[in-house]
Amino acid sequence: MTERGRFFLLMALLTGLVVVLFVASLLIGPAGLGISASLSALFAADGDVVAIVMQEIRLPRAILGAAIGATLGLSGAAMQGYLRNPLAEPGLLGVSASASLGAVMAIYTGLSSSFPLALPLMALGGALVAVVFVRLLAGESATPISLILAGVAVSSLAGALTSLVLNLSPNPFAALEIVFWMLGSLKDRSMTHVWLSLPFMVVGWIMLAQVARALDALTLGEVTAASLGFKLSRVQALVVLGTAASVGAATAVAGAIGFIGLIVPHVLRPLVGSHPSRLLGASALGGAAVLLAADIAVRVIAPERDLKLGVLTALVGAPFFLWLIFKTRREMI
Amino acid sequence: MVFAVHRRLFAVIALLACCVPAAAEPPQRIASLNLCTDQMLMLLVEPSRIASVSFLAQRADSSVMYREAAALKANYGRAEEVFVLHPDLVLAGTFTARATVSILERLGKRVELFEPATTFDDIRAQLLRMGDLVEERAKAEALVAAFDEQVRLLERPQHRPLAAFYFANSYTSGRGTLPSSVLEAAGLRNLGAELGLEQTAALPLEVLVTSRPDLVVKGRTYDRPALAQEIFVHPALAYLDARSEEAVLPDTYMVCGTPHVLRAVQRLADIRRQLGSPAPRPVATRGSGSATTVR
Repeated sequence: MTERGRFFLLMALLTGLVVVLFVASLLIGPAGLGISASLSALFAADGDVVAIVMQEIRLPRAILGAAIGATLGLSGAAMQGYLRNPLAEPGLLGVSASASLGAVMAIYTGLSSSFPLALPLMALGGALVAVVFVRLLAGESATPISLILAGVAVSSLAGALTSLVLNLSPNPFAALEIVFWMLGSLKDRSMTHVWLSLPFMVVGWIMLAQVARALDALTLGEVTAASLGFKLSRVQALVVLGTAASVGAATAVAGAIGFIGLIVPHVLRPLVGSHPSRLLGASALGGAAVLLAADIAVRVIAPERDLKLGVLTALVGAPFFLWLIFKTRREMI
Repeated sequence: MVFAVHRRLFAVIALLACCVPAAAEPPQRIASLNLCTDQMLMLLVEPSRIASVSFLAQRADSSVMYREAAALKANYGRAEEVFVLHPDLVLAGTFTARATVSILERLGKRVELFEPATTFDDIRAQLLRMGDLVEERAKAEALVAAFDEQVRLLERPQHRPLAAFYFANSYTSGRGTLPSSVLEAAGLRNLGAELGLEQTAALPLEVLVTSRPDLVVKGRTYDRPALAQEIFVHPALAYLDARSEEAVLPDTYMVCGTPHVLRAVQRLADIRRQLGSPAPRPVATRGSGSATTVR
């Protein structure tokens, strides 16, 4: 089979996996509805209670799971390709934490209740600040480790400010919600959240998809890429804005979910034959599958405990990250 | 060294306190650290005998008797601020300020603990116990008699609609809670109890919707936003309670087991009567939803 054929097979398999997990996500919930009844209720026009559960509770959860997972996988692949850094990922570089801070400022000051779009916009703003900062830092001389250290600093600062905003809120529940913003959850999200975040995520995906060819050229170095006719300033703007828009919107409605953007591109890279352009699409599908699976797992493992998504992704992702650091360090020596 | 001396000093104080024969006269400087003991105390004794009540007793959003408490000295449950009041009786809840309670006990203060009341029998028993502690037995008996009289007058309806409490973060009151007792007394069935939930427990939105309650009693919404109360504006809930009623049921009336819970019972009984006929309801449909919401 040709390399191209293998790639299409991989994409077909990943698409199938996402579809299966999406349907599974629709079928799993505490109400214990029948399979055929719930799937037909999904398209029912008159809403009995089963239709309300399916259309207003489970469908937005499944849509957000797929879209946010795709965002994290895609932006992870784009950042790794653009920065040519194996450790780049929205969570580790502080982009998610900064987006959380923006979202928290929008919600808990009351701004988003009078102007709903403030939520995704401020999260986008937070993400943008972090991406620009990371880009400035990751100039010619930045090693993978120094980039991660900068990410640690950005994450800690954003986390501390998030905690401060929540602690200052007069609402007694606010302080406890730090867990949601640091670890993420899709519990009881509604179509409102889908409409608020999905358009921004789609815009971000489109921007990131446009840099695919440029990322291939960038593997040969910036000078070569420029000589091949890629405008590097435009590529940079697309990566920065695309990541900020999609990760900002994703984080605004589900909190910061780590490690998906790190693991998924690494697992898929050998399978797509080291073409950053192919890795983008594959990582988007892979990210969607992983987040849907994680969101199904939190509902199956501890249905009544509201286990956070970030707990599961970190349990898998953190050991992987450590292994990656050791590997990177060996290569640098 | 210093510690040792101090500890010995404490021991001496404790010894003195425990072995001096109890004063014949009733306690005159009573300090309360818990919102519920605060309110029972204020029902039973003159303000002049109350050395301090908790700061929560003075807040309109937590206390039914905030007006009565306004003139009293407030405490924040800290050991030293209570100790310097030289109380001859300290009242606290079994879950309040554990550290403070143990320090005060070691300093030889007489501390009496009250469990949270969950049933109307608890309310009666606690009022009588409080009456004995502050030596106002007759007054306590009179309060219990008045309470019983009001409970006796409550309707026992044939048709008992299904009601669900829905608090922030999708929590509800199951069996063994005061709000559950209040619902029962108001002639309503408690969804949380019928689902077999114990204490205050999570009630998934899906389960609330598919249980088709006749009435959803929402928890309090704070002015300042938090994710915890976003659940109250979830579209699925909006379909369920299209016939929404913006009635006010302050949860202050259900926090503590005092005769004030009857105000909550009466309010819920009024709403039950408005729910009307016991005719079997059709499946809840959008736009003509059949649950009523109370906040």
